Amino acid sequence: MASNDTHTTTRPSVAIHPAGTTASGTEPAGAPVMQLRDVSVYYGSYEAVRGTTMPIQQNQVTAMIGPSGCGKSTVLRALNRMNDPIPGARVSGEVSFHGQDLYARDVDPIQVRRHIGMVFQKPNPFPKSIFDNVAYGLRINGIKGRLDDHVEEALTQAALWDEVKDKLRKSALALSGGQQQRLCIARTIAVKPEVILMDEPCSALDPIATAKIEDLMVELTNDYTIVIVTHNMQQAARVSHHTAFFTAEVDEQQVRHGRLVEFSQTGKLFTNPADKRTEDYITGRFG
Amino acid sequence: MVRDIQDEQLDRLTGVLAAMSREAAAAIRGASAALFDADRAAAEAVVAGDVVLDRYRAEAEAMIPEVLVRHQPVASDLRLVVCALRIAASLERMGDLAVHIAKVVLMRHPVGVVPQQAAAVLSTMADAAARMADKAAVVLATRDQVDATQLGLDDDEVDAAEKRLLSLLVSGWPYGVESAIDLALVARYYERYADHAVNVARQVVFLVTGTIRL
Ligand SMILES: Nc1ncnc2c1ncn2[C@@H]1O[C@H](COP(=O)(O)OP(=O)(O)OP(=O)(O)O)[C@@H](O)[C@H]1O
Ligand SMILES: [Mg+2]
Repeated sequence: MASNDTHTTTRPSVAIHPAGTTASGTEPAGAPVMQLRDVSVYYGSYEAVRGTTMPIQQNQVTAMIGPSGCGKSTVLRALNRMNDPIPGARVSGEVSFHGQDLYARDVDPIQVRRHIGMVFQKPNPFPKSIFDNVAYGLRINGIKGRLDDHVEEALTQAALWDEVKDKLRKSALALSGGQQQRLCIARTIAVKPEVILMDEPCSALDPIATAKIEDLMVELTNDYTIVIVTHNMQQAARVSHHTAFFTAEVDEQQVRHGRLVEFSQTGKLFTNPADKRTEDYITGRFG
Repeated sequence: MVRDIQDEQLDRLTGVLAAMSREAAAAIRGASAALFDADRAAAEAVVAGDVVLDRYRAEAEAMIPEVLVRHQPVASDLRLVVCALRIAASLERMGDLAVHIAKVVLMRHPVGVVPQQAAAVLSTMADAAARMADKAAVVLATRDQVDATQLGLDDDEVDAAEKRLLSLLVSGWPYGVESAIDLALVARYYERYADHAVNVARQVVFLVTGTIRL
């Protein structure tokens, strides 16, 4: 199942998942919506992450934790082919979404990102109005229906509507950091993805804005599947159902590779981790 | 390093539990000596000494919320904190049960509580209880699971001895109802004491393995 070639060219659009397995429920909550099998990610000849196998359960929050440089963002980006544009980036193994290999030849990465959206660490709204930020993805994806309604729905789902409904034409850059981050979440969910990837979405936010985003994550699991990278272990413990702990290991050639050490139900991982490396990291006994 | 501060606080907590386990063992030895020798001074010492265990328990209970708030412990650190709360409660109760035995002695003094017929079976209980307290103290220090499971065997011995004593008391006990009630109570105090010692060991097993084995 390994697909060792680099995928950077745009290919004809195909449906990402076969009919009958859409988000709205042929699979019970907790069934894997995505599956990584022996996934390694390379930047040129450097194998940044080695042999990762883990499921992403539907309608759950999956957290990825681990020390800086262990490859969390790399793995996260591999889930929606965000590494494709990086020159030399390459994925081996299998990343599947509803059983379909996301790196198969006939899969269009643009379509992948429409089904599997991403929210970044730093809120990155476009220098446009609040409305246009949310409408942007709808327009380029040619989503039908009344734009106003879709924008309102997305802003409401992102728990931002009440705060911005009177200033939709104002610049998004005039919002606070926490509001900007929720705007980016609204922009992501406007195109109705199934999976939302979040890379340290709260690292620039105060505790109140953080709590809002965390509430939102939990709320969003009604309709979406969420994967979050966080350095805040309490956050992982608060919001996630499963937690994946990654670390960087040095091989015989003294090269560091990211490795998945433990994937567990979150309560288990934080009370009784199976692996000593997990225990040492989460209890702060490193170095 | 902040991690060192947390370790220091957890070490202090473990130290309090170790001190409590020594106090609880001393209390049951004192109570047994008072019981078998009808020794008023020994009984009074046990009653007076109980405040030490109460203070240690209060100290442990005050430390735990602070550790939780400051360090948000997880994994084995978290289990230690949760278990410490339960262990401190058990050890404090063990002290109380030794006091109950001492109070029976004081109530009957100068008359003794233990007639010859009950001496053997009660001293079996007293020895086993003291041994269990010592083992609980060792297990707390070494966190050795094998030692921890051994406490269960001593506990079986205590339970069997209690049954033997009760059957003596119900079949033509010649010393009257008051004596029978005293002895039944004393036996029950030893039995409860032993159960708490088992609980301490069980908490240590949980602390080490993260799983409760019954
Ligand atoms: N675009 C890139 N080109 C080359 N190497 C990269 C690139 N991005 C990441 N790497 C390398 O891959 C490894 C994993 O990086 P990654 O950013 O995935 O780690 P991370 O776990 O997200 O760290 P952090 O917690 O600091 O965000 C690192 O050694 C990093 O230097
Ligand atoms: Mg990262």
